[in-house]
Amino acid sequence: MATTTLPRTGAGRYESGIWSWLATVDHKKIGMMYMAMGFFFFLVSGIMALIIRLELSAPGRQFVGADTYNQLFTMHGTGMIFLFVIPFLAGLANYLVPLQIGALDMAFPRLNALGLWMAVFGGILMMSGFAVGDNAAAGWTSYPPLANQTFSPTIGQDLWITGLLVVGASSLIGSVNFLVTVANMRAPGMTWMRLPLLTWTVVVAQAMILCATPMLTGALVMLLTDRNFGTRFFDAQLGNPRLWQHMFWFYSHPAVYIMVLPAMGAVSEILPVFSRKPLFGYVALVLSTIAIGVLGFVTWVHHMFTSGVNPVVETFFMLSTMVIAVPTGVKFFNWIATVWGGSLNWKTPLYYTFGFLSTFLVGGISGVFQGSAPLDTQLHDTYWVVAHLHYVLFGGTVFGIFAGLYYWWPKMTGKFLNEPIGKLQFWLMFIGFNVTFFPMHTLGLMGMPRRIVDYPAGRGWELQNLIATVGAFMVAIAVLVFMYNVLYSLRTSEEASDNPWEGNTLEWATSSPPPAHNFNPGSLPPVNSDRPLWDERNGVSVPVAHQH
Amino acid sequence: MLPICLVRTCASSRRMAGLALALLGGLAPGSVFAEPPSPLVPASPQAAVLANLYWLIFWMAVAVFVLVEGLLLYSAFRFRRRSDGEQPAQIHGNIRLELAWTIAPALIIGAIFVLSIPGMGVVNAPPATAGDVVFDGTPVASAASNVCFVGDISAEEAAAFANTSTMTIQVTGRQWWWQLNYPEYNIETATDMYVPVGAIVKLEMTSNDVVHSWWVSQLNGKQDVNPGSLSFTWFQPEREGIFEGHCTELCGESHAYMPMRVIAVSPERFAAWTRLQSEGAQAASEPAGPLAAQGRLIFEQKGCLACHAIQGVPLPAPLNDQALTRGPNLTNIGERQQIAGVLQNTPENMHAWLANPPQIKPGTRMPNLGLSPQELDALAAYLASLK
Repeated sequence: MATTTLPRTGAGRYESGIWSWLATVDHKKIGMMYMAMGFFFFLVSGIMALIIRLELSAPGRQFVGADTYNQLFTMHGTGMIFLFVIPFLAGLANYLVPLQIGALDMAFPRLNALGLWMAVFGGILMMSGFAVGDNAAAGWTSYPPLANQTFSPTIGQDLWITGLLVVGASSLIGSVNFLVTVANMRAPGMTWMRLPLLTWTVVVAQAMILCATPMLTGALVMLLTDRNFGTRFFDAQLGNPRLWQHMFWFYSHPAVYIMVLPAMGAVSEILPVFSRKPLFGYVALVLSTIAIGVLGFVTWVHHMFTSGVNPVVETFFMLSTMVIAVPTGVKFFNWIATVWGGSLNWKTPLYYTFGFLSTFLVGGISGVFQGSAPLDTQLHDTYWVVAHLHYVLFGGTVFGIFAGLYYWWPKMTGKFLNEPIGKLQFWLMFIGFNVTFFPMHTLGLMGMPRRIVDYPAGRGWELQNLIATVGAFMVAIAVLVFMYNVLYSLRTSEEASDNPWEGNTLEWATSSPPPAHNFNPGSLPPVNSDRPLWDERNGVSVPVAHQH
Repeated sequence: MLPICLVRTCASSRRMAGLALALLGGLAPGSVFAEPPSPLVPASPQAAVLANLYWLIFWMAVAVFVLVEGLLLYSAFRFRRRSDGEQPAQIHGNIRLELAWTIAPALIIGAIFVLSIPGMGVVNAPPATAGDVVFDGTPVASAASNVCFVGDISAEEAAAFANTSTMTIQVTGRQWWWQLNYPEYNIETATDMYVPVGAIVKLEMTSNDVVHSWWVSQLNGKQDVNPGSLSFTWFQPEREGIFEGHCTELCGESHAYMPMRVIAVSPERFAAWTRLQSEGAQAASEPAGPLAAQGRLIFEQKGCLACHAIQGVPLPAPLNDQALTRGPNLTNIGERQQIAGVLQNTPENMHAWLANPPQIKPGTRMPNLGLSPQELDALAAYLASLK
C-alpha cells in the first residue's frame, strides 16, 4: 500500500531500522511497541499460569514449592493486569485514538514515548525478582502485614512495589495525553457525540486511570516506607492493615473497568461494521460507559465484605455494586439489537466478538452473586472468584483484544491475518477457556479456597482441577496458533485495502498501514455523524436523523 | 418480614446441592470426609439462609443466561450474511426498547438486593452479647424463623434454638494454625473445635500475625481474622458432624496447610470432652509405660516446652507462661483427630511430622530437631498417650 516519505520532526532522522522504533515519537509505532510489550508479558505470565495449573492438576505438591507457588500466582496476576492488559489496551488506544478522531498524532508525542519506556522498564523492574531468585509472594493484592518487612523480608516485594510505581506513573502520563488529545485534536465536525465508541471507552477508562492511580501510588509509597523506613501506616498496632485494603481496592476496582471498557469499545466498533448496521442506541452506549466509569468508584468495598466492615456500609456498597450491573445490561441489549436484523459477516473478528459477549456475560452474572454481601461471605476468596475474574478479564478483555487485533491488524500492517487459522485459534481458545474456568465455579462452591499450592484428596476436587489444567493447555496451544498466524500472515497473506471491512470510522479513511502523519491532505472525509465513512459510501452528506 | 416465599426451603435446596455436586463434582463415594465442605450443604440455620440465597439468585441467573445466550445464538445463525449485496435496515435505536431493557435489569437487581438483606443479619449479627448487633434484643433464631425462606426449621426447632445456650470460643489465627480457647471451660486447644449441637456458638477472633480468614462454609460465611482487632462470627450447628474449613486469606507460605474443623457433638459428648481435657492433665504428669516416659524426657530435653505447653507438665525454670505463645497447646493431643491440622492423627503420621515438620508444612516455625528413629518412636508414644 501507499506509504509516505514525508519526514517527521524528532525521529525523522531514522526512517528504518531499530532506531526508527527506539527513538520514535509516532503514536502508531509507540502503540505497536506497547502491544508487543504487553504480548511479551502475556506469554511470561501465561507460562506462570501453566505451572500453576500443572501444580494443581492433582493433590499434593508435585512441581513447585509452596513459596515458589505463591510467587507464581502473585506475579501471574500482577503481570497479566499491569504488564499485559493495561499496557496492551494503552497500545491499541495509542494506535487508534488519533486515527479515529482524525488527528495527526497524540497531543504530546514525546511524553507518549516516555510513557512507553517507563512501562517497559517498570515491567522489567517488577519481574526482576526472577533474576535474584525471589519475587513478591503476597498475592497481587499484597495485603499487609503479610507484605511488610516482617513477613515478606525479601527484596522481591520491594521490586514489586517500585516496578508498580513506575508502571503507574507511566499510566498517569498516558492518561493525561489521551484526555488532552481527544479534548483538543478532533477533526472538524467530530463532536463528542460523534466519537467512535472505542475512543469514548478509552476516554472514560483514561479518566478513571487519572482519578484512581494516585491512590494506588500513595498506598505503594506507604508500603515501601513501612517496609524500609520504619513508618507504621499499615501496622496492626500503630496503624491499620485495612487502610491498605481500602486504598488498594479504591484503585483496583476501577482498574477492572479500566481493563474492560476499551474491550467493550472494540466490540462496539466491530458489531455494527460486521452486521452492516449502525450502533443501536449510540447515546445509551456512551451514557452507560460514563455511568460505569462513575459508579466504578463507589463499589470498592465489595472486595472487603468479609474483612469486618460496618454492616450499614456493606449495605451501601452492595447496592452500588448491584446498580453497576444495570449499565452493563444496557450495553448487552444494545449490542444484541445492533446485530438484530443485520447482515452478519462471519469473519474472525466477529467470532471473537461473539466469544466476548457469551463469556463476559457469565462473568457479569457471577459478579451479581458476589455483589450480594451475605452470599459473598461464602464465595469470596474461593475458586468461584478465580472463575469470575477470569470470565471478566479473559473471557471479556482478552477476547475483546483478539477481536480488535483481528479487526485492526490489516490497518496496522497492511496484511490480513489468516482466516482459517484465526478461526481455529478462536475455537481452541473459546473451548479451552471454558474448560479451564467453568469448573472453577463448582470448585468454589465445593469449598476450595484460592491461592493454595496443595489440596487434600477425597473432597471431590481432583477431577475438576485436572479438567481445568487440560483446558489451560488448550488455551496455550491457541496462543501458539495465534503466534504462528502472525508470522505466517506477515509473509504470505494478501495485502489489505484501505478499508477491507467496510469500516465506518476515520482510521479506515487512510492507507493501510497509515503514513507517519496519518492522513494525506484531503483524505479526511467530512464528519457529519458517528459513521463518516458510511455516509461517504452511501452519499449521505447530512446526519441521518436518529429514529428515536 | 418480607413476603418472600417464591422458592421454598433449604430441604429442596439441599437435594439440589447434592445433585449438583454429584453431577459436577464427581464426588468420590466413601471419602474420608463425612461431607464435602460446601456452602450448599448447610449444617446450620445461618448457612441455610445463605444457601437459599444462592439458589434464589442462581435461578434468576439461569433465566438471564438462557435469554441472552439464546438471543446471541439465534442472531448468529438467523442474521448471517446470505449475499454480498445485503443492505439491512438502518435502525439507530428505539427509546421504548432501551427504556425496557434498562428497567428490567434494574428490577432484577433490586430484587436480589432486597432478598440479600435478611442475610446481612445472618452474617453480621452475633447473638445477644454486649456491644454486638442484635435484632432488637430478640434472640436471633426466633427472628430468623419469621423469614419464611430460612428453610426447614419448624417453629418448635426455632423455639428450641432460642432457648439454647450461648458459648464463646476465642480464636487466634497464627501462621499456620488456629489457637482455640474456651474461656468458660478454661480449655486451650488447637485443630479440633468441639461444639455442642444446638448451641449458639460465637467466635471472637483475632490474629497474632497476618490477616487470616475463618471459613467453615457449612456453618456460616467467612470472616477475616485481623491482627490488632477483634472480629466476630457465629453459628448454630443443627446436627452432629465434622465440618471442614480452610483459611481463606492468603497468609504466607503454608496458607494451603491451614485448615480448621468444627466437630459438632451432642451436648452430653461435649460435656464429656470438656471433662477429658482436665483428665488429660493427669496422664501428662504420669506417663503410661516406659516408652512414653522416655518420650516425656525427650519432650523436656529437646526444648519442646519452649513453644508447647502441656497441662500438668511443669515449665523449666527460665520459661514462664509468656514464652508459651508460639506453638499449639498439646494437652490431650492424643485424642485429637489431626496433627498440625493436615495429617490424620496416627502413629505413622506423628512419626513423619516430628521427623521433619517443614517438609509437611513449609515455613513452619517448628524445626527439624534431628531426632533418631528411637527418639521419634518414644516421643510419638508419649504424645499419643496424652488423652
